[in-house]
Order: sequence, then C-alpha cells, then structure tokens
Amino acid sequence: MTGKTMRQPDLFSVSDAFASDMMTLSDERLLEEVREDGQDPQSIAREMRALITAASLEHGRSRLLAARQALDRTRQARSGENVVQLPLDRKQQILSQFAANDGQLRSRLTMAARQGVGASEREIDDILRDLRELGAIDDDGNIR
Amino acid sequence: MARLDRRVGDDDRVSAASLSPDEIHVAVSKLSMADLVRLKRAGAYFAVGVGVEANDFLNEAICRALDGTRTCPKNVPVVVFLINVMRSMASSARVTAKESPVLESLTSTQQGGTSQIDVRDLARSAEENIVARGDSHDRLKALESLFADDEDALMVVMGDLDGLDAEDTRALGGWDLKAYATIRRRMRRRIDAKYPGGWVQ
Repeated sequence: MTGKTMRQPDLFSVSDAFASDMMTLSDERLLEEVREDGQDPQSIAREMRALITAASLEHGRSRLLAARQALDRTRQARSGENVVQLPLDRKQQILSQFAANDGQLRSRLTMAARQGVGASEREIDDILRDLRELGAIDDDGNIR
Repeated sequence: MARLDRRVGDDDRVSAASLSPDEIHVAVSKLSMADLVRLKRAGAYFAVGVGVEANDFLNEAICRALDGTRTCPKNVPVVVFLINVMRSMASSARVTAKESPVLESLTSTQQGGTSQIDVRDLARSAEENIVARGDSHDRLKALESLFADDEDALMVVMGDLDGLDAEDTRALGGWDLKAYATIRRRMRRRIDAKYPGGWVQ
C-alpha cells in the first residue's frame, strides 16, 4: 500500500502571520504605517470604540434578560409556598372544596382516611402546591 | 509596550488569575489608540482568511470575552488576549469549514487490485464542500493576484501557506531582517488597502 497526502493551501497561516506582525510592531511604527496608508488612527479608534460599546450594551441586555429569567424561575419555584403557610384548617377547607368536585382528589383523601391516618399535612401541602402550580388557586388558596 | 507575543491556549479556564467579565469590560474600554488599531487590523487579517467581515469577527471576539466564554489571564494584555480569541475563532472556523482538508488518497495495490479511498469530510454535504473549497480557492487566487507583480511577496505568502516560520522564510529568500520587514510592510500595505474590512465582496 502506498499513501500520499495532498495538502491544500492554508489561508489561516497567512492571516496568522499578518496578525502576528501587529503583535510585534511598536505603537509608533504601527500608527506611522496607518498614516502612511492614508488612514486616520483616531478615526479607526473611534470606530472600534463604537463597536466595543455596542457589544457591551448587547452583552448588558443579555445579562439583564438572563437575570430576569432567573428571577422568574425563582418566583415560579417559590409559588405555592405561601399557600402551604396557611393554617391547617384553612388548607383542609380548600381541599374539601376541590374534593367536592374532583373524584380523583376525593379518592386520594378517602384512601388516606381508610388507612386511618387521614391526609397528612405534608400530603395536603403537596396537593396544594400542585393546585397552585396548575393555577387552580392563588397564593392565598382562593379558587380561580 | 507590554510583551505582545504571548499566546493564550484554548484550554484556559476561569480562575483567580483571570479577569472577570467586568474587569474585561474596564480593560477593553481603556485600550489605547494603537491597540484599537491593532485589533482592527488583526481582525481584518483573520476575517480575510475565514471569509467574513472584520467587524463581525471582532464583535464575536468581544462578546466571547464579555460573557466569559473566553477568559483573560491577568498577566496577559487584553489586546493580546482579544487577538488570540480571534486567532482561535479563525482556527476553529478553518477546522469546521475544512478549508484546508488533508485529502488523503490511499491507493492500494495489494493482490493486484487497485482501490482508491478518499478520506472526505463527512460532516458536510458534497455541495457544501464544493462551495467552501471554492470560496477558499477564490480567496487564495485573490491573494496570489494581489502580489502577482511582487516575487518576494509571493515567496513570503508561499512560505506562510506552507507554515514556515519567519526565520525559515528569510533563509529561503536570502533576506536579512530589514529586507524581510520591508517586504512584509509592503504586503501589509497592499492587503490593508484591498481588504480593510476583511473579506467583503
């Protein structure tokens, strides 16, 4: 078996060599070159500053948006916490209202009652959180 | 001027020795006129190689620095860091676009038979490959024609294309440091005049 490799020209290395020139030229020589080329270094600098400012503003907007989304997520995660802070009798009252119209919920509560334990407060809280997340009740437990 | 020839590796990670995005923001806003010119020109050179507009390239590099995708070691001047981000982007774009694919033709003559296997870029469709290679070919042709009347410049371009370092290229052409610097200056003048904003067609 013989192998041969055909290498295609690599423009990256040409670009890299020119960019490396920028790294090695002194400030004075670089600015002199720019002026020799008929360009205004201050004008280039202004253009670059505008580009940097635009990028910074865009980045700031993105950060703000990300922060807002994080806040929304936190609020969403916390939703339902108010309702579980209500007194137990109020929580039971809310569930009773739902159980009257919801066979599945009624079965869940009845099952717990048959087992002689009733619905634990923890279970009530879980159900209330589910109802809050579904938007069926508000933070104070009022039916929507 | 601070030492500018330090390169930052792709695997730099956020650490206590790195600038935070806010510190990057401050450092970038304090860049000198010469450093801003450096960024502009380096961006244009890399953009020509990749085939995009310089400002798009620069904008992306700055965004990556500000959002922390790339981190700047505290001991590296921010202009060097940004140029290295662009270098990394250009290098990645080259790999992605398979701009310089190593097309290996493995010719087997075993058992009297001959089979040829081309190791191709499987990540792109055949059509995409043709377009990418065609565009790269066009840019290369444009570069050659830019220096067509300057044999020394052409030789330097060929050296760069072959990945030779400056010393080897100088030895090849028999140039001393001053003569080599003069040739490169001539080349920069032409390319800056022709592609001030990168590869804008």
